[in-house]
Amino acid sequence: MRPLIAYMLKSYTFSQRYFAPVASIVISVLFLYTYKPNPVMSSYAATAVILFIGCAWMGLSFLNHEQAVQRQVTIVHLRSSVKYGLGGILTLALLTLVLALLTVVYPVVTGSFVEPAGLYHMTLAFAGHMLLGMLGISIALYLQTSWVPKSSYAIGILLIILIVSVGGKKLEELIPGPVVPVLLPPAAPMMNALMNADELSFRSLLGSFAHVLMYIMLLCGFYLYRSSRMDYGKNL
Amino acid sequence: MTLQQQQLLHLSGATKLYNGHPVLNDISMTINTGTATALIGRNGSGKSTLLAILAGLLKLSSGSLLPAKPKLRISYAPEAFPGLRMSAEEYLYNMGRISGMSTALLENKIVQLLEAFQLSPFRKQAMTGYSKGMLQKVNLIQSLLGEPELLLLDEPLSGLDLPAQHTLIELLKELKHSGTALVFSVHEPLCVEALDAGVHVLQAGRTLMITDAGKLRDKPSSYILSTALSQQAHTAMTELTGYISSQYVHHRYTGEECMEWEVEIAWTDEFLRHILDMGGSVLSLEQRSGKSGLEQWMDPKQSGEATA
Repeated sequence: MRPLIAYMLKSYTFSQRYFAPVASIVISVLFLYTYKPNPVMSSYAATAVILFIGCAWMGLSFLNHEQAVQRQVTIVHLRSSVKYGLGGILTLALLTLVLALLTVVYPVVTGSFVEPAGLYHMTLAFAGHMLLGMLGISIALYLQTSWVPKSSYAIGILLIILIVSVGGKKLEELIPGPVVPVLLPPAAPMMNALMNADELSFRSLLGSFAHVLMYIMLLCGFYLYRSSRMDYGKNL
Repeated sequence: MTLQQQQLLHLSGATKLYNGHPVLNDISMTINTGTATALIGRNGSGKSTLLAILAGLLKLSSGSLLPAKPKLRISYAPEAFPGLRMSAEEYLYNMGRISGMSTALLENKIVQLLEAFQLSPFRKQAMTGYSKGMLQKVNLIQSLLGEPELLLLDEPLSGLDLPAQHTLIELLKELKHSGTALVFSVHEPLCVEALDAGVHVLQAGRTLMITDAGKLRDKPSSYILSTALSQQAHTAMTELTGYISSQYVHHRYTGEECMEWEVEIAWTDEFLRHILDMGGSVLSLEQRSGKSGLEQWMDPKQSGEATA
């Protein structure tokens, strides 16, 4: 799996498609911390949402960067389309890890917070950033060109999902019942948990994290299952 | 040394539908170690689809694909290989590592193959600046890196210069001799003849015939030049035994449009009689070497006459 991840990273880097989403994340985070001082967990909740949106965009650009014929060759060398799909997810997880680390460490290093963040808050923030970043990527898996051939549709659907996910609380109030909290990507509950980390019990925080993790695993699991049953033709 | 041939893969009743339309229809074939199989047929006959199915990239709509063992080492060189932003050397190294080759063996093999295909001077250049032929060489090299048990090549000679064609054929001969099964689609008889390949002729997604290069070699036929016949008479002629092909031509001296019939020598009299019976006139008759069976089924220009 390591050679595949190394290749995918190299191929994505050379394609330069990473530039727009990564630059957007970096600029948004820098902009957020322009004014000092900032509250610790509220700022982390805001940057986690930035990462959620940015990683979804990065995921889509990564998943569409390799040409269909090249993807065929890579899959034949790997002897497994599931491994190929898993390699893509792991590569994106690695990129998310780097972005999450930088986003969490940056305000601490630059002294942008009103008080010292502390290891507990930083750990919570890192987990939250990682989970929201991967949530964005899990959504993007289903909107790549081989799944949604029209890129205008894919971008439109992605924007709707992201907006609805972030504004999930409002939607839950409008449509009562279990459907919205179960189906909607749990970006809003995660954001809420990060913002109120000091008031919420550790158990309740863990519950929020587990909810997002479960959602990511279900999306990734079904994606890999479908990957093994898909055609990999010379056109995406 | 002749290796005992073993079955590698068996394809049975393979059908592939795209939007409800069959691209491949009820194809069966068995691939054994140390054999070469050429898929020939005109454009759109299903050769590339069949290769992608054998590579495991496309799922069958019905039928079965049974490999002799679960993790068969397959290599695949597709048609129209794209130029990436990385260098050929870097790309080949990555592909080799992904397929599980050790670094030392891989580096050696890459140097050897780049040298053989005369790509060494360009190995550090980004592939975006490569010509079609150079990209095809990289494509072929990536498929030759490991020691595949089954090598699938889609139009391997496309875009290659003559020395590269001969290099490839020599490498393929060696691989075949060492037990690799080769399956390739071609539009040129060179590969088929040189590798003494079995021939699987496809037409509109169906198997038209399974034969060998020897049987498709050039045979002389009769060429009858006649005045043009009515559409009905023409159709009736194409249904006669011994019919090979027909085309409208202009008479060398009068410039008049007439019909040239290529027919099997044994059936010449029969055709002459039919032309006269249907109100036509025979302008000339000669026997000469026609297109070999191979060329006839590989010529994309004749695709319109495929069912004639």
